[in-house]
Amino acid sequence: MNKLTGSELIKLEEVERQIKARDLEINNSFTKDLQITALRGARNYIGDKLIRVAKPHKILDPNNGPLIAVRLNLLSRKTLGGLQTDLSCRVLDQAGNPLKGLYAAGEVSGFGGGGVHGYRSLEGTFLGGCLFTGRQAGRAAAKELM
Amino acid sequence: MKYDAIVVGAGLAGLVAAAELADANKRVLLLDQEPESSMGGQAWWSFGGLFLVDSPEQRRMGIKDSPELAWQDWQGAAGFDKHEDEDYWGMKWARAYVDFAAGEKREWLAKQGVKFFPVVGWAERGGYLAEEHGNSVPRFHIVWGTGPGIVKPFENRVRESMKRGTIIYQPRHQVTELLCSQGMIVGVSGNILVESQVNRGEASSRDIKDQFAYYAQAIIITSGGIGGNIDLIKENWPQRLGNPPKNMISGVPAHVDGKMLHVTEKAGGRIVNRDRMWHYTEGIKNWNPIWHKHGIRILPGPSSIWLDATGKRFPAPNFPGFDTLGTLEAIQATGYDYSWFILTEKIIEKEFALSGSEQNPDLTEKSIKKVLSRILPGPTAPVKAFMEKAKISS
Repeated sequence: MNKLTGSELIKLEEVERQIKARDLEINNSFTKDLQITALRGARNYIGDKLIRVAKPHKILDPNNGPLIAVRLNLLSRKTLGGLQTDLSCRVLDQAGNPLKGLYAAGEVSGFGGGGVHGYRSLEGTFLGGCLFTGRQAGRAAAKELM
Repeated sequence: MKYDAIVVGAGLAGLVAAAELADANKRVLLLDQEPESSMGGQAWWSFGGLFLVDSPEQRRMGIKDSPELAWQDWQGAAGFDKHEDEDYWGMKWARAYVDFAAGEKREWLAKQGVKFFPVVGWAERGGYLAEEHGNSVPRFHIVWGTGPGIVKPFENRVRESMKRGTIIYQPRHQVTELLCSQGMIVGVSGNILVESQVNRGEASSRDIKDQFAYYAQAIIITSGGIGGNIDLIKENWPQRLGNPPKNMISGVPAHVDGKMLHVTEKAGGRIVNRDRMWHYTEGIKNWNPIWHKHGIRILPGPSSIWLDATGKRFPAPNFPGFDTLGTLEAIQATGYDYSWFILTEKIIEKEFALSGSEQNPDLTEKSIKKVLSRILPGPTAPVKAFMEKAKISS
């Protein structure tokens, strides 16, 4: 890990201590370690048990395979704010009045209203936001054009 | 007037809007700065996850969901706090969206041939109390065929209308100005860019060969966000997430440049909630990049041990897949803009998926045989390729 970053930030004994402590919490079917409790909770859902959440096991037990480390970077993705629009996808001006003739949909409008997600997303909401606002913009504009 | 409406941006929202207008017998001009190869925009690259509430797929997996529970979760995640101003319309849209996701969304898509992978995924698990952030139940429905599978029906509708002549599609048309007259937006003008043969998602030339101006009664902006413009992201970075990161990789193509936001603002449109954004903490560099700084997101199961850059385990509930922005904040507080997963072979086999249509050939190609091989021992082929070629070390 230090080789990858060209630093000495990772101390082997520190990492080992924390994972050993975590592995000690596996022995009972109940524990104070909230991550392990969450794993067991998730496996009550059949979908997670089948294809998503490994059976809780000791990380340092060699039977569970070699250890793997993955360096994780920050990855840009979505804009949650944007053009403020009403429920007909009309773009609003600074005073909150519609700009006549102008509509917006999808991510440029924060997927609706300039921020349908608020501060955080529940996921799976971005494509749906494009579908919902795109449909509404098309229909509202068509109606106005009658 | 030649066109009834002009749609700016041929991503998913633009394709849907254009298709709906054409169905209502309107003549539509569909513009995009990218070449035709990039039709479908960011959505094409996506994993194809759709938020649905109380769906048949959920019920088959024994999940009890309801619009009430979904709305509780949505409000907990959103944390709306500018009720009378910047959040006023966003909240109304949110309520309408939850009702759509619990109502006609699935049926509307099913009628257009969209099908779903039977196992519903559980994203953003939260880890707090009932009224705070997170999905109480799994709601992430993966489209059979991933991103391309959700783009296709709308692209098909647009192409049908192109054949009938009710939609004129003009790629390489970059809008730089909204034209105003007597307090109305009446048209768009901009640059016609030189022809480009680049493949989907690759950077295309910005060289200009001509100018254009088109007029219509309705102009619809569907140009996407700022996710491919790291400078704009840093400029708008919220204080609450710490300092802007020095290093960030890009989860969307470079053409997601946010330029139309500025263009629309200049014409009088109001931008709200500029500092709200959604970035992932589990990015790895693509060993085989298509766009500049191309990053892939690991969709992690919850078992990996998550350490900061100095090797300290993050406190609860910063577990993989629980609270994206909460963990981003915790990472930024360390003063380093990266972190580590430590895991076992058993965990990587079962829990590592990579986001994006191109990283999930089984689901994207709708191959039942390949999908079933996910149950067999060993990581998926794309995960294996990253283990061999990228900076995943054992």
